[in-house]
Amino acid sequence: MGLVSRFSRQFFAAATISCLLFALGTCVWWVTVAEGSDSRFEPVASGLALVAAITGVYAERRAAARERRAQALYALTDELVKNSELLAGESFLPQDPLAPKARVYPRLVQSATDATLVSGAFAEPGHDALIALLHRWRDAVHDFNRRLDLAELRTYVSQVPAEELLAIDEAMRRPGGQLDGLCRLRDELSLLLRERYGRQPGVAARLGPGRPDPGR
Amino acid sequence: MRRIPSILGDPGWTVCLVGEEQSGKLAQVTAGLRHGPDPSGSGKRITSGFSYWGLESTVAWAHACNDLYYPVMRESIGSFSRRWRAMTQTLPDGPLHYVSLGPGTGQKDQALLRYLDSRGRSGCYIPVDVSAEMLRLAQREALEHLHVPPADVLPVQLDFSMPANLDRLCTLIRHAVGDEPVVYSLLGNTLANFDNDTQLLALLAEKLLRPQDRFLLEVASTAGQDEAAARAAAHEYENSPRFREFVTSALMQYTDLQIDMNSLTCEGLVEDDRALKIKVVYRNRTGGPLELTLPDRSTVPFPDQDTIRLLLSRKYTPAGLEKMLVDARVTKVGETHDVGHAAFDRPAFGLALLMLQSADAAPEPAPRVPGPNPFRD
Ligand SMILES: C[S@@+](CC[C@H](N)C(=O)[O-])C[C@H]1O[C@@H](n2cnc3c(N)ncnc32)[C@H](O)[C@@H]1O
Repeated sequence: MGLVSRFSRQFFAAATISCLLFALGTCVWWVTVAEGSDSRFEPVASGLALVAAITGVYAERRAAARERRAQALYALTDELVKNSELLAGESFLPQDPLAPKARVYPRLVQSATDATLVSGAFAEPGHDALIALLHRWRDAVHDFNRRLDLAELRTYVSQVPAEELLAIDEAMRRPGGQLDGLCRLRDELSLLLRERYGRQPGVAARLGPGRPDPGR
Repeated sequence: MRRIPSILGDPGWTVCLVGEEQSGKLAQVTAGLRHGPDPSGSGKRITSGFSYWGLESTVAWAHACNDLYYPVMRESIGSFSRRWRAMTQTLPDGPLHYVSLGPGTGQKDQALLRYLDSRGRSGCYIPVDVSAEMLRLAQREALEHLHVPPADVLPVQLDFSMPANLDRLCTLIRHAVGDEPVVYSLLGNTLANFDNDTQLLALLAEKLLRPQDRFLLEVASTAGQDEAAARAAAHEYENSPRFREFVTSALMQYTDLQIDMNSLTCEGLVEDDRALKIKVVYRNRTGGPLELTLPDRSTVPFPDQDTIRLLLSRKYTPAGLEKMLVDARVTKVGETHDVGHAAFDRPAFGLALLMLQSADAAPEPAPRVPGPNPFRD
């Protein structure tokens, strides 16, 4: 086991395919040297079985992986659209400076991002940029949601004067602040999805045309 | 004043501002002694201030303060320094001017001025008293061994229980100190000597106290509030021969009465739930009518069993004291409470020293520290 576990997946794939191809070659040669039509059935049948094995193992695996990716992309784009709607929605409108009030903020969703990251759908080489960006996005959403928790606690547990409500709102919205950073990451993710995965069915359609709303 | 600065440097001289007509005062004493007969001690009277007015009274008071048989005053003076120090953190910062209302023998003023001097915070010293003799005595005692320049000492002779006098005193103080903070003091249970003590405190607070000023008030206190406690309180005054001399000294000055010390009685009463009231009364016990000749040579009948109230005093209950502060529109910013010479079989009498502030002095709003901001930190 110790020795076997040291070889990589690629090694086993190469070994399997080499064996199969070698067996297929053997079958082809067998057909040419076989005497009589009866005795040709056997190498032909074996050859076909081998072709089925080669295409079945490889192609089926690739197709399944592509399907998982497509599903993950659906979920990711859906989530992105939903979060954009939340950020642009009424609950995140700036406070009225004359009558600020304590509010309950909706939380940004991140379940699709989490699921994508653990599913390994983008584990194949070539998706590194997306995985890195998803990690940053996930952390930013988590951090932002926690700050929303604290803001609510602060404003609901005790009577907070109006200027403090305004100060919290202003700090949230300040250029270079948490909300700003979050919207930038969201735009980056949206751009990556559109450019790199836009041809996948449904992605471009979900994200809508052109640059997404950059948020406030 | 500017022409005699060198004279002021000589401690043999004192400059005293006399704030009212002294002849008017004499008329006031006479009026007090003209009241009709009342065997309960509420008729003829010598009101507070006049008990101390004049040289004889001043000397008698100084003696009483040192009498071993009259421990209340002695203890009050002896422990003042300690009690005052417990109060000093409630003072405003910077140099302080000190106005002593009724300085008496000046020993307490000495303790207070010494503290300010040692901290380099002394400003003007303005003792205010009805009695010129008392002022001179107080000033000498209070300033002993201190470095207060003579120009910063301004004794004022006037009766501080009269509103018009307070207006004039207020103007004088404002001229002398400007906007700088002043500590006023009314010590030695002097407030209790007035018939309407709450009204006097309210008047003083209203006329004198600005938001930056403080008022140091010392009053006698009692824990018990029954007849026995009232009797015990009266007893405290009866024992001291020097105190008897002091209370009768005014009678000696303003009447031609042949004074018999046995005719002196102290009566303890319960005054609602606010205080024990002690009346020191001189009663005609000769068995026949007498006649009093007053300073204006007029005569007043003094029938048998009639009384002259020589002194009024009180010991306040905690509740009574609180109520008085509320009614006088002052708030407490510091206090010490000393339970004095209490014996196991006697009610606990003590002394309360209070640091007061005008209730109109809006409490300084605590600087608002903005709370934590989750989107900043
Ligand atoms: C009981 S002694 C207190 C002396 C001193 N403060 C102490 O605690 O030892 C009262 C002082 O107040 C003065 N006094 C009493 N009534 C007064 C009045 N109406 N106006 C001015 N001074 C008065 C007396 O002359 C006397 O000096």
